[in-house]
Amino acid sequence: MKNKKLLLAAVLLSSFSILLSPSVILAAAKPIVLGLPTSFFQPLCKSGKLAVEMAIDEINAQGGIFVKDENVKRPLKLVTADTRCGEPGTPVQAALMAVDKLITEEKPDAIVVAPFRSEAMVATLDLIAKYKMITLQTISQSPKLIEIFQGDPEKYKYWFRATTNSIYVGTVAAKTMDAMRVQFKHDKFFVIAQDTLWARAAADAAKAKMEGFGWKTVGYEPVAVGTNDFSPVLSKARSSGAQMLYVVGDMPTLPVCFKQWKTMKIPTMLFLDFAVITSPKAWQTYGEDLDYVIVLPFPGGTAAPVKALPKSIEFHDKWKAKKYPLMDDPRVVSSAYDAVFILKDGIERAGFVPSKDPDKFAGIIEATDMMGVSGRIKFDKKTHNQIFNGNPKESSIIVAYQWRAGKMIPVFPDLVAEAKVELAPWMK
Amino acid sequence: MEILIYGITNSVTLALMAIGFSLTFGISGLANFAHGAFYLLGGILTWIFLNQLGVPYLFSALISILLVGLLGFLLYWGLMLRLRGLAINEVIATLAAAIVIIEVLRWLGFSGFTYVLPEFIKGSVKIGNVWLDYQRIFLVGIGVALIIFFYLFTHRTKVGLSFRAIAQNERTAISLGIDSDWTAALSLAFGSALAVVAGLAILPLGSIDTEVGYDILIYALAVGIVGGLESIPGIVLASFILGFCQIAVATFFRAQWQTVVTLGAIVIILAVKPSGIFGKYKELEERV
Repeated sequence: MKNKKLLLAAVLLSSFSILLSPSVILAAAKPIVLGLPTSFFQPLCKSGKLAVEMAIDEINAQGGIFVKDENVKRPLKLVTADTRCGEPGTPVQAALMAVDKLITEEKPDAIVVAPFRSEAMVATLDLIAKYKMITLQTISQSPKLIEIFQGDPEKYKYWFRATTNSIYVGTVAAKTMDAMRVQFKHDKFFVIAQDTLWARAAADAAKAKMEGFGWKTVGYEPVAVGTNDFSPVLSKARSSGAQMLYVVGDMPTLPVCFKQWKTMKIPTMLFLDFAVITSPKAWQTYGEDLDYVIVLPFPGGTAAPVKALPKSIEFHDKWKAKKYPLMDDPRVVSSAYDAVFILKDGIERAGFVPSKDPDKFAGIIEATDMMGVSGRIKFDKKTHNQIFNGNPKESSIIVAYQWRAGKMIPVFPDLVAEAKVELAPWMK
Repeated sequence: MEILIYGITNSVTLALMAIGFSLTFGISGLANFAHGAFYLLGGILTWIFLNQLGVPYLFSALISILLVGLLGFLLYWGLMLRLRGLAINEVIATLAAAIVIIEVLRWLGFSGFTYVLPEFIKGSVKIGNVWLDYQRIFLVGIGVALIIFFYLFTHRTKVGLSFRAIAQNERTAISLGIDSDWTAALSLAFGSALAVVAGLAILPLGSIDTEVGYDILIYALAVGIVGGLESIPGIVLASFILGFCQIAVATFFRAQWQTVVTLGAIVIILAVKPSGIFGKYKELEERV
């Protein structure tokens, strides 16, 4: 009989302790819903989703986000929609419908990441305004979004770009190359651009900036999409006496270019604006063909850890601990991770969830000041863009790396560089 | 010197892309628009055997060549047999097959830059004052070997002779006991297998992406139309004309005009001699 009573007491006690445990309280609290509408066909979107899930797991493991007005910790819940805008031939309308459906059916409290293609993102701005949906967008780099925002800041105040934009990226690319002028007294610049609008625009911007720094452009070669022999243009680069070769594009045959740069021993440094080789996985694919190539994955620390960015080391350690696959395209993946923490920080400061008072919450996000993977996260109130500059203690930064023996070595900016740029052996 | 060396490698690359397409058309009169898809499929199958199943490179390549050849054979018996002689239907059917293959591969995730075939030997060698990678040397070797093999095959073997017989006069060939459908199916199988051989020589230079399935078809068509779709000497000559023109245009003008050379040549040849330089397919109509 005594044993039975003891057993009953034990069962009751354990039941209470289970009921009072944080996980049960967490399960009972209404979740804060995060919407993630993007194009999962694109590798960087797939990795971005993993980064968001990693951040959510981390926050939920600590009991969720404390919402002061409700005096409760609420867990995060992710809902997704495939906008398909990264797939060939998908119209913008399809992406818009996917975002609209997500907002109206799943009723998220905020949106992170957002559509992949800039055209779709531009069109999504009106949906964001219509539904007053706080959005931390982390993919599209188009300056057009700033233009639209500045056209009616009150209407579009719910939109924030929590990542880099192409203006920042272009500037840092040019500054990275310009560092060679100081280090090696180089001043001759040669451009190879895929003959598409975006790549030509990027090449033109780089050319203008480099000339502004005092470089002389000794060649500018647009190449047709599908080119599978770069020997004529590389020969031109050689005979022009160029010391810095800037190649920009995203076509499937572009790896031929850096392979030929090496096999033809072209006596230039190579700065390659080509997403695929910004991935740590690229070494597995291309191996030593990548040696000495300089690359610029957008936000600092997203592709590989940087000692001066402690959160970038944590980010990559957690990624490994989760046993996630190596990223195919790491650009802006860390921004997706940071976006969740920006929201957490905002909710904790505001004391309420974004959907409760989006107008007020927009002001809360504007005042963000916290550390993230790429340095200090702050937003420019005039553009609603995350600020990227050269000092990680003051703002976020973009880091350039050089591939050397299978490692991505941070080489620019000087404040965070872990080594100087090295010339390819055939240049010495 | 650079123009000469890279002109040769570029020309042989074009010849490799076109030779399988030309073989099939020359024998069965069938324009196999799935040629680029087979080229891509061969590359991806080899990658799978090599990287996922651990099969040695040479065997991976051989298995892929056989499998895609078999697929070409089945494409004929399963689909093309019913459409034989209906030119437009043949084009639509093979193009549809190409789109299905390429888009299924894309859907399965074989897109992007992860898929790379290793070079046979890494590195480069200096010829005169020009650095040339070993892979391109192999590529030229494979191209020359294929053309010699092709010549001997069609002139010295029973199957090859039956190919030529069908190409010259199908009805007479049938009256001599040659099975025209069997021969046409074999020609599609051979053409498909040759697309894989071309892929195995060319793909290690860059990476395997689904888009190349469409690109290769355009190059194969350009070479075929310029040289004469059914003529092997025509294919070789057209490859060298286009190959050297591309390199010369990129060297002396702008690299962006390389594609224009290829497409421009198609337009000029179709306007001046629709059968192509050595083609006889529409020669009679042209004379009329």
